[in-house]
Amino acid sequence: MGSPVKKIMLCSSEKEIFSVEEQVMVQHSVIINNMIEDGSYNHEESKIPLDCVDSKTLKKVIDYCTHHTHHHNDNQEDLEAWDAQFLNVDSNGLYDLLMAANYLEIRNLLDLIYGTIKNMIKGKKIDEIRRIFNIKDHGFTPEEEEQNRKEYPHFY
Amino acid sequence: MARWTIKRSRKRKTAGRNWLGLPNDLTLMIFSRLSTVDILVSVQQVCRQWWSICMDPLLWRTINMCDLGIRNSVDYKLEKMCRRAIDRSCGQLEDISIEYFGTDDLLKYIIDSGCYKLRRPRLVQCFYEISDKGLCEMAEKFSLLEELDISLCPCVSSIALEVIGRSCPLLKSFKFNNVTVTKKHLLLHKICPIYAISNLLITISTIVA
Repeated sequence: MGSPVKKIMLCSSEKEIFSVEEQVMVQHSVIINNMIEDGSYNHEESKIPLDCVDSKTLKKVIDYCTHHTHHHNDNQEDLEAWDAQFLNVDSNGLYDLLMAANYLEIRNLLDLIYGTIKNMIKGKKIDEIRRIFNIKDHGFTPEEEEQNRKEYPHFY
Repeated sequence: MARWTIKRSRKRKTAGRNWLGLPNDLTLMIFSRLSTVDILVSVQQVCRQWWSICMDPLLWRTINMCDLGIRNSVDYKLEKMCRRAIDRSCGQLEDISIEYFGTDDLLKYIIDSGCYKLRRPRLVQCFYEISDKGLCEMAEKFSLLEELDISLCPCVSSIALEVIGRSCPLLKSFKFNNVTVTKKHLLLHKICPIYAISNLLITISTIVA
């Protein structure tokens, strides 16, 4: 029998505790890797508090890291299909994942999210982008906005 | 008190996220993946905050005006847009990809703008507007070029190839194809250091004797 898998505890903003294989998080999150390396995480009593990550988002982040740890040898196509399915969330979900990936410094997940958001903007008109990202107050003066609309009517 | 907490958390769940609250460096990372045309015609007009992020020279280290698809029409004044993008780079430009509308004048504009960090120009299908003169001048000024793609620029001859080969010792990748290159030109190339480039792609469809 092999040695038991080392686990670490992550605590969401709702104070829900998630127990995750240490290796999974160390491989993906720069912050957690640093905490383990510098010994600031105590396996007996520590829980890593992630006050800005809710349970639903944290569960998804853990799913991502777990899948990419155990399936990194899968062929590229399968991994891409899994990623696409993984990021099939609404814009709020995407925002939460982006903030979480940024906080935990999960670089490959960040890249994936940047690419997805890029595709939400690419080729879209201005009003459409404002709707997608829920931008109600654009901050331009009425005169500036009117002039932009006059100058580039077909981009709105 | 308890009721207030429940109400507050429910509201947070249903409300849309405030994308303008993203740290600017994250927004910049997203924008840096977009094409130059997308940024100039729509993204920067979305709101004042995005406008100011789009003024950051870091965003303009890469100018990508290829694969424009349906947007590749005269309505867009592509060369004018490209010049505006070059201005915004404030000399930080490293990569530039242009399809169809590149001209010697535009190359001159890049030189005059002091973009000495330029490493990877990609000037494809600029049929008759990019000539030996423009390329020679560029190669002489920007000796740190690492990659160069001048596919389907039929006015480019062995004259420019020799100058490029001589002036740009760091060139690792070079793409060029030209249906009018003759056997004599090919012999000339052999004495040109350009042959030392590891990723050399010269496609010649018809060799004219």
